Amino acid sequence: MSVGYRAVGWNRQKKIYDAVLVAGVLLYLAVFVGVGTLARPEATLETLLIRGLGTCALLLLHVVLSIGPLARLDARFLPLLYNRRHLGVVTFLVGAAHAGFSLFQFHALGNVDPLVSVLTANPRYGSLGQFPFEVLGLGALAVLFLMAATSHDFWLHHLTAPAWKRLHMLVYWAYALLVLHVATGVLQAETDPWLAWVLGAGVVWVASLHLLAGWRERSGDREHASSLADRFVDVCSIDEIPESRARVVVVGGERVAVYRYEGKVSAVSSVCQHQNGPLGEGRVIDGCITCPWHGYQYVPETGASPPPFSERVPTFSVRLEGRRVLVDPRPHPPGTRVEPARIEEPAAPAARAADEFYVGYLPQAPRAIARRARAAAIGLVALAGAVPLALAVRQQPLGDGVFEYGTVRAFEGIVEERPYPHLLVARPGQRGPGAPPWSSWPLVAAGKHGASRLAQGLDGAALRLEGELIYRGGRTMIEVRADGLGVLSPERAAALAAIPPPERLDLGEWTLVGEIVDAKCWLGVMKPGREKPHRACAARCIAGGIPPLFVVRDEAGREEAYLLVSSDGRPVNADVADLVAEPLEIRGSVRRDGDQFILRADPRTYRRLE
Amino acid sequence: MIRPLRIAHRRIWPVLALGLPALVLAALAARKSVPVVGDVIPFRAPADRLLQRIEGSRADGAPLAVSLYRATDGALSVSFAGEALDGLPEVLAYWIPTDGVDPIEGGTLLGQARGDEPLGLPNRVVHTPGMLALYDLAHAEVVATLRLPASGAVP
Repeated sequence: MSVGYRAVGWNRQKKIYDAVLVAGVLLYLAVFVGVGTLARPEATLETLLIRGLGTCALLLLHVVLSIGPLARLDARFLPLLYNRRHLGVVTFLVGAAHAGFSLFQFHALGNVDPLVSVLTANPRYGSLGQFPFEVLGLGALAVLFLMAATSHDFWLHHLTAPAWKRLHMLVYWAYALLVLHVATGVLQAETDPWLAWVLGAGVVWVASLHLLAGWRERSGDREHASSLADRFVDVCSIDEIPESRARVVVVGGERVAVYRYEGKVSAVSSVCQHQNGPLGEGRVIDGCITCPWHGYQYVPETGASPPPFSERVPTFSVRLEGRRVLVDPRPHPPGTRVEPARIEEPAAPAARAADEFYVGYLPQAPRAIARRARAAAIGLVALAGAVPLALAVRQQPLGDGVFEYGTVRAFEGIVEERPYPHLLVARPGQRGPGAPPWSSWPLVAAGKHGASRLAQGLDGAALRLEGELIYRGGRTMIEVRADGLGVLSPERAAALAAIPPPERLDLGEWTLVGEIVDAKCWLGVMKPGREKPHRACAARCIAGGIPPLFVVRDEAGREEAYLLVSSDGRPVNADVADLVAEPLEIRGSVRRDGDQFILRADPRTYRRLE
Repeated sequence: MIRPLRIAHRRIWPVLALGLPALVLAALAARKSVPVVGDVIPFRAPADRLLQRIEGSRADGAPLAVSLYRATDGALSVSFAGEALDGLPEVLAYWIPTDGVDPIEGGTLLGQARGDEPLGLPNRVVHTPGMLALYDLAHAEVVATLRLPASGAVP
């Protein structure tokens, strides 16, 4: 507690708490990225960071949501509650880092603003399996931001504890949004049942704790009815209250803490003014009632914090009749002095509370509590090592494509603009029978953009261009540098012109089943570059002009990619962006253009496989 | 917590405890994997008779397997196991009649090595042993060479 403004009232316990927290997060990320790199060498660092940060934030939220009910069910968990807001802020920061990387990776560098892309790239709001899971994550992050931004005591003080608490109960809905973000996102593609079981176990754990704690709290909310003319309520026997502790009773609709201390009995509201903590579960320390959550203190007779602090809680009139304690259910205004009832018959000495009591701002925690807190910290750090290990090794293969990012090479050939810009590269050596003389490599621009603008007006031109290679399974693409185009010498251009054009062979009408991907990501820029988690990115890329491919797989894992064009051979980017990453059936005519298969079909005839 | 919030908590969690698992299960039930097909190139001709399978390795040490086929009309072809081309861009296959010849300029281009797709060999392979070379066009480098016996010597 602090009387003046301080950003963080640092003390030894908070420093230890935060050090363990930061170490746990770093350990989690290191294990996830390290093990993920070993288990899936094809994975990119961005993918591992996105997945590591996302799973770490979800695990942290599970811990955050477990502490409250655990502390209600067993006071030994109270030390974890003391600095829970720092845990919540770190959860938001880790989640925000996950969102930031994802936003850049999947939505930036495209043809619309990244935030607009998050909301519009996937319009399938009517389908649970194809639901735009990013929106759920964004909603959860907004709640976590609101909570992190208002986590300081400044807001607690100005909003008042009930309003602040009400606001922070939105975390339950944020949790639900995050669970559904995972279920409708990554779990649509990561089909290992073990991952679904882990998520399910987390939901059952958190829900069970809250249900159990809620059920326990309900039994403590039974109202004590008055049968006396002066409305005083008989709440308990004085012998039922241990020395320096309270019995919590419900009178006048709210919980009241009836404290016994130094031969006296006083009653105050059991709701701490700071965070509405359970004041009746505290102790009298140094003559003050001390809240078990954050150690806020109140003088029993007045319900006011000792100077210079200014917190106040309502007080209640108390009297003793024999050994019975009677409380007036009408509260006095907060901070009103009420004469305590005096215990005149010493009778049996009051039982002393045997358990230790934790006050977070004291320099040393009691020995047994410190030992348990250490055990809890070790357990959580162990969890931070074990969970990412188990998750990282369960990831499915991410695709063996390669993006030679940063390695610029020069290529020469003939540019063709249609149906999508590509470079015809002459194959050296003598041609055997049936061997196509050209390689056809699609061209794309940087980011999520096709190369149609770069290639505009260059159809048939013999050029030298610079770019970075993208390739997978023998298919090759070039990300062209806008400033790397040059004209070939007349001699070289004439030599290329002398090579016969690619042979085009019609292979008839065929019905194929597969998935539409954007060529750039699928060939190697993204890992994975297919299925639901990549859907929005593929839609963005295709909308930006990157050629759409129809990828067909067999049971042995072999893949063939068909370049999609309309039935009259034109690009279909504008028509297929809403159909990516879903099982589709397409019937159309197949043509072999050199070594590239082209599937011509009217996009309106593409059929979703429901 | 004050009493109204405790009541709110007690109302929220049964809803979440029932609704959340139900929605998760529904989402998992709604997931659809892309169906697999019998052949990713359904219009290709049926495979020829396998004559021989030759094991080797790429220049980077990765294993390489080549299958030699003969069609009913006696035409010979080769195909390369899909994993032999993992991590590579477009790879061109060449047949070279003798050692000491530049594998690319002196060889015969068979076509792009792409998984199981067979590439026709020159007729003289029946009597002439030679080499197969795999050429990475994008990086302009030979990634593998492999000795190929005359097919007449293959039982």
